[in-house]
Amino acid sequence: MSKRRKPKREADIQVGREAVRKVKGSGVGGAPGLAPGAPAPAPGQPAGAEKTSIWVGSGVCGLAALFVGLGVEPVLRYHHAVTPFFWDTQSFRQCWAAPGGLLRYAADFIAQLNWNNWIGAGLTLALLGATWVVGRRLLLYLIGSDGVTPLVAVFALTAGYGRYAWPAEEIALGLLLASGAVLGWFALPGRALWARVVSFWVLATAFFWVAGPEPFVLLVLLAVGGEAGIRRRFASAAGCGLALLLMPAWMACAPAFDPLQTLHRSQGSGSLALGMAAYLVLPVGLMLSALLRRGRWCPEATGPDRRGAVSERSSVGRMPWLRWSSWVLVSGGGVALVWASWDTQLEMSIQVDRFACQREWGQALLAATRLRQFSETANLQITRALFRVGRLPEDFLKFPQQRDRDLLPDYRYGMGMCRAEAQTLLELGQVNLAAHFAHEALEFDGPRPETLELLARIYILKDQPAAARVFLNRLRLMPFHRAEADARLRALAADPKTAEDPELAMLRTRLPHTDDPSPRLPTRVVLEQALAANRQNRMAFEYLMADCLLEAQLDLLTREIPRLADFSYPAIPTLYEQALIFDQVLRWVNRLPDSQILARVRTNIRQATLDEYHRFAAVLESYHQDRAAARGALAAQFGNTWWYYVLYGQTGGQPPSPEDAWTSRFSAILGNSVRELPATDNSNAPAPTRAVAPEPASAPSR
Amino acid sequence: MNPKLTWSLRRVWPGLIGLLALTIGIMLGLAPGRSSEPPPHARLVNRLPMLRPDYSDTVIPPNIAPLNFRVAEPGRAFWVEVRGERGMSIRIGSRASTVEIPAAPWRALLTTNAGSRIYFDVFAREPGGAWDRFLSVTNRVALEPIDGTLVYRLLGPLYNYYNDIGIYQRDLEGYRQKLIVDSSDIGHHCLNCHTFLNGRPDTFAFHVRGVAGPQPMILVQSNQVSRVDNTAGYFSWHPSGRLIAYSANKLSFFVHTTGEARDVFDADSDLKIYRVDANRVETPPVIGQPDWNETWPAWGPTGRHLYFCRARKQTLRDFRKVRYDLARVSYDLARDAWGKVETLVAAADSGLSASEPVVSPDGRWLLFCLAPYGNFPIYQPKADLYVMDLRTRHWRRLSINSDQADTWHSWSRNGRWVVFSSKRDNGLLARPYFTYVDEQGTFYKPFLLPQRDPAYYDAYLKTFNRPELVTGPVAVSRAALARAVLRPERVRRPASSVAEDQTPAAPHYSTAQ
Repeated sequence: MSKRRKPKREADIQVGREAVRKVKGSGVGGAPGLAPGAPAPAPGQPAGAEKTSIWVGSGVCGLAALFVGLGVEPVLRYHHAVTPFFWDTQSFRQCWAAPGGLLRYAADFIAQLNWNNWIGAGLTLALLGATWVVGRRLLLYLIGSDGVTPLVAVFALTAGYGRYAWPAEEIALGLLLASGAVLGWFALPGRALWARVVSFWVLATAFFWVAGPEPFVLLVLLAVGGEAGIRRRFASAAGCGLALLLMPAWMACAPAFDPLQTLHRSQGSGSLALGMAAYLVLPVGLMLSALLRRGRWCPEATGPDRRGAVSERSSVGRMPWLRWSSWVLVSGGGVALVWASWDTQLEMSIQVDRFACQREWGQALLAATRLRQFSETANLQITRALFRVGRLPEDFLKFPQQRDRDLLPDYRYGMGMCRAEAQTLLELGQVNLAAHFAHEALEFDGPRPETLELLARIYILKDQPAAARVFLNRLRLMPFHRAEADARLRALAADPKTAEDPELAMLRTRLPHTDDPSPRLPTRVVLEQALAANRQNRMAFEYLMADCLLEAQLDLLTREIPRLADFSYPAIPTLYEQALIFDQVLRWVNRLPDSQILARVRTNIRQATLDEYHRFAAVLESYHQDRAAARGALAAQFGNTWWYYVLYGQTGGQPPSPEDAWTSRFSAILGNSVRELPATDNSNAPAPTRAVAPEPASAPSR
Repeated sequence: MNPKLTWSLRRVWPGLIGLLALTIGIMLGLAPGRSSEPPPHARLVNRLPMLRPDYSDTVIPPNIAPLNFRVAEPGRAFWVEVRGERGMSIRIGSRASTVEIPAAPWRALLTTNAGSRIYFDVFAREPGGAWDRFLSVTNRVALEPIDGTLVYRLLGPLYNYYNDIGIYQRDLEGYRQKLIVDSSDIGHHCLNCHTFLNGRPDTFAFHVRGVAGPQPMILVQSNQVSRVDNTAGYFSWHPSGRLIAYSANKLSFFVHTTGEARDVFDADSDLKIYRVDANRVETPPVIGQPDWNETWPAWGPTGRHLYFCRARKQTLRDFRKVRYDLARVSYDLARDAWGKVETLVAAADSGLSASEPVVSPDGRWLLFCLAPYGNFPIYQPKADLYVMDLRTRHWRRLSINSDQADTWHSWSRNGRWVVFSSKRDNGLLARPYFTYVDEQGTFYKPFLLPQRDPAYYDAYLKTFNRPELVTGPVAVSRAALARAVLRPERVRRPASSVAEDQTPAAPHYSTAQ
């Protein structure tokens, strides 16, 4: 069989030589480390195979960028985890202070492009493409065949994009720099051992400071792999490997130095492994290729000679079936890896937060319908969005709730929710508490645009325009935020109170008048204080009622229910009705008297709600009051009712799906943001429930 | 040479020269330049120009870095002459409103004019092309130099948690800021107050919080670093270097819903003495009385008195009623004998609460803070600096105070300069201000620590905390300090500090902003 194919192989090898000459012509190839006149390394990769490889590589990079642009969405990565970047000498100077600072600064800079989704996708394409091209060049240069290794690196990076907080730009730049640097070093003239080792040490030391520990290790591994595995210069490889001693030496100098500093910045399970895989793909591929050359897969392979020349007879390219099958395998595995590592729940959670920050409440709720794991940030933003579209008293329990949840959570739930909590507290009028959480967010997430903007608003409300100006001045140093910051600064210069801003004007009416000093105010106290400062604070009222529902505090709920009269509800909201019915039943069972006000309120409970309660009670009764047995049946029909929540301490219904008719209400809101709840406390404002979805005609009006 | 290449170069050459000329032109146009002649026919504007930062009518040291500023006046171009009463001038013309004074001429100007006045003559060009000349800004150059280095902590406006805190040093004769130690160097623990012995850069101490077990004090003596496993709050070196007086505080952080958000309550505190030479902790009863909270220790320059603040213990509910007296107690180092506590400023008389006493190196002036209540003045906008003449015991509020918190003061070794943290710029972020003090105890208008970029503070989100003047640069390395925390070679466990060692880890909030 091999005899029959020989002529074709020779022809392929001829074309392969042409390919190498092209590489040489591009300034990368040549006969590295060889004496002048030494034979150039000849790849065994046929030209046809190279073309196919280019098509496959380009296609994979293009599709990966498309996946990132359409699926992952760079704009979500920007919102969730972009490192703040500032155009100022001070920030630039700081990046010199530690190993890897320059690379991080560059990565942070290019990551700002994710601010726009499609520019971000373009950046992704450029990074993935460059990774593939450089990786391929390196392998072509060293072993005469690119194989599938660069594709594996592209897939690993693409998979990392789907982790959102994964520092994809930094890792990709590290890969590129390390591959490029080692390629450049291989191309250096001179064969003397000492010259090669010394030049590598110089390069490695500079590289360590510029790119940081992980790319540095990659550089050393590539150099050692190339020298030992491919060129079989074991002394040179050992000399290069000694450069790794720089790491323990530096760790001795800086005890807190983290050799996995970039990888440790990636969050989420599997992210660290993915990062390590991305860094190690090239050296592992290189070593495997070297082994394959001498292994049984290539019985005729001879490997490179001592001068580094690759044998003409050694090539995977001579076995198209192996090439194609490896491409198919890698592509299939890569797609599976990308799909498996795509954190869609995190994506939805970021969507909820981002839309809430942009005040696109309907979109936020639509994204929330796809959530199955609810972070504290998502919970806070969903509650805010429900209030803003006027559905909080109706639909609060349509999203999963449980009794140990706090409507305004504290640090027990992590620091990630600080900005969302600050936004909520600010809208409630609790400006100092908002400042508290906004500053925690500033400390932990860094000066991100939303946090800076929020802090500026907080200090305008606190009548500290000079402090607000500092945050806005910082904001204007960020790429893409200058115009926004300038506009706010101009408004602030014209009027330090920015009285023209309707939202700030409204928030001023909500500011507390009394001091309630405490290390940590309970949620109820925060809301009661807000209501005491302004009894028209509808948000505080609905949050207080939601808190009562969540805590199953019937006494408090019935105490607060007369406040309904302060707001123009067309009917008693369903969840309040459910609580009132339950309260009535409890009073009847315990023979407790009903107050006059409550009795009057109860007359307005809709018949539909009463009927629903009877159905609920009937189902429960059919299980002879065995709550555990009835749970399944009740969850199916009444999982989103407060009765179910009280019985089981958590909601039982499935979260609404985007296809639900219920969601169509939000869909209706999407195109019409004007319908969001006006940011006023005026009781004459149009009732949101009316605007969103008319209640049944039979509903009694107060 | 290849004729094709020659032909190409010939074609490209003029374009390249043009591009180069354009680039140079743009750079020259944008760069702040020096102009020899003042603008002709300038119209006099009968007021001072607005300068940011405000460097007018103040007294500056003869060795301070150039006071770069921004002319906060409308104009297309600006021209500034900095001239001295005794001669020399620097002329700067610029299209931008930023005025960056070259360092070498500035140094020569200050040296020539030490003890006399310098003037900033500011011209601004109107959009129409006419020049306005403002009244001359006058500053005085003192004869006495300021200590060469300022050490401070940089931290965000923190609440409960911190992430990035660093102790930095700044060369006051230039703009170089260098990190001494950063929280990331020590495993992201909290770096607490630093204290130098007599302004010596080679002997100082700082405290680390948030580590498991006893919260270590890092002791640097003649650049030798050791770790002392002993929890401490605020501390002060005895001038002999043999003792450190420190407070052991039980602080709790809380938030107000109106006004300044942050506040701190000290539930329990005592003063203790750490004997550096004997590695022993003592609690003299006179400064550790059970029904009193004693805090803010500060040795006088002779070491014969320990100044501190004290108040009767109260509960958190009555935090507004807590007012500290300013007191001192005499001490004889040779006999290790304590005298009686004498109250210098009684809260009952002042109606205010005292904190942060610091005595001038000549022993005459006692600078301290008074605030409406409590012992954490940095969170109280009404906190102001006061001075007491220790000869007469007369004390007064300083005129240099602002309507925001003015705290954390430190004397230069010659006693002519004071640096303090002030939130006067924005009410939130403290910045270091310097003031000149003459022999009669008059404090002159303070000026802000100059930066190369005059707009530096406009967008700077960190607060300058506990600025302290030091006679020279701190030489001990970051690595040595970090090792002392993470992998200490020398650990001292004070003899009688078993109780302290068992103190639980301090909460992760900063106690000094």
